[in-house]
Amino acid sequence: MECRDIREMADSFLAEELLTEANHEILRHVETCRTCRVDLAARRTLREGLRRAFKGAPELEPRSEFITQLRTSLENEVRHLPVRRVTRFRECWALVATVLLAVVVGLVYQGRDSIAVGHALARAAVGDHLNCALHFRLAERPIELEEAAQGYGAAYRVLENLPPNDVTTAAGPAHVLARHACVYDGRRFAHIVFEYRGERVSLLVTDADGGAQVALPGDRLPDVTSSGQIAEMSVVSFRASNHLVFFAGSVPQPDLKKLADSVATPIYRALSGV
Amino acid sequence: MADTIPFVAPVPETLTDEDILGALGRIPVQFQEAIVLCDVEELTYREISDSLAIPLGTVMSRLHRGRALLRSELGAFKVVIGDRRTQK
Repeated sequence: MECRDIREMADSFLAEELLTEANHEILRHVETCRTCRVDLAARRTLREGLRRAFKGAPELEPRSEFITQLRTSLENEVRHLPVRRVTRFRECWALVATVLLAVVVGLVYQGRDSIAVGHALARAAVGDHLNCALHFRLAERPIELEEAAQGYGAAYRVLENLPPNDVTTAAGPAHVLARHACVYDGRRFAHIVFEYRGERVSLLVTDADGGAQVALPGDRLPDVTSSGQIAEMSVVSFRASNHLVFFAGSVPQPDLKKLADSVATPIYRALSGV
Repeated sequence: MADTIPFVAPVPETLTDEDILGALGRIPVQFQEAIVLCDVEELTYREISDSLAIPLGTVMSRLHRGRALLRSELGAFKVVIGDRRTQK
């Protein structure tokens, strides 16, 4: 085995992906080749550094409830639906990857003091919109915001009066149809349902668990960001201190953003204080 | 040319967690994804292939290119820091 071969196989060697014979050949080579030994050590250092960096940043770890849920899903699938195991496994790990990467990208590209909206949370918000506001098929009955505030934090109380029942936006009026707290896929949301542009549109607030805890000055303005389409729903979001606020609905993205722009600032300021 | 060893950017000796995460965040997402699943989550290539619904060969090439990019980013970081220190 030449140095060139070693370099090409070095990462697979460290990932324990090679056959025993290949491992032995690499070990034999590095015993006598200092350059390759140094290169291998550098690659190992980088791998260990990555692992350490993730372990040292708890906000980059998927939340424990999520992992528990993931494990349960995998176990159930293996037990009951072995044929679909691979598909389910794929979906689950893709979610894990999304969670991890959304946080990494959020932290690195947008900075710790700005919005870091996880795609997985956006999907959960859209799921809540679909299953609560549109199809009324949640597993758990929604509860009053005040009851949620007593059990789960003052943020729910904020949404009792914000936004007002009638909102004027640049794209037309919006009217609040319902306010409550509900749970979708194990995640609790404060949920406000609007009628807007002839459609039902949801405003959903949830804990930004796992993200950096950010203290925001009350006079700063929310950074309302369009998050694209999920399950054919437009999604707009912003971060308010320790909470993520999502808007989801089938109205066009620019219209949804206009609604978000109209109500974001008072919600942002109120949530920054809880 | 066939006998030459491809250039691989050296890994700086002293790296903080922020350096590493910063460099990781500067490379394209599909490479971040493969690297995190392999090096942090310690999934096998086959598991990564299943989880991301991409062929095994694509996993390997993303890991290979991703790590090369990561090392370049870390090398570039070192140069920038070195320059700053020199300027002081």
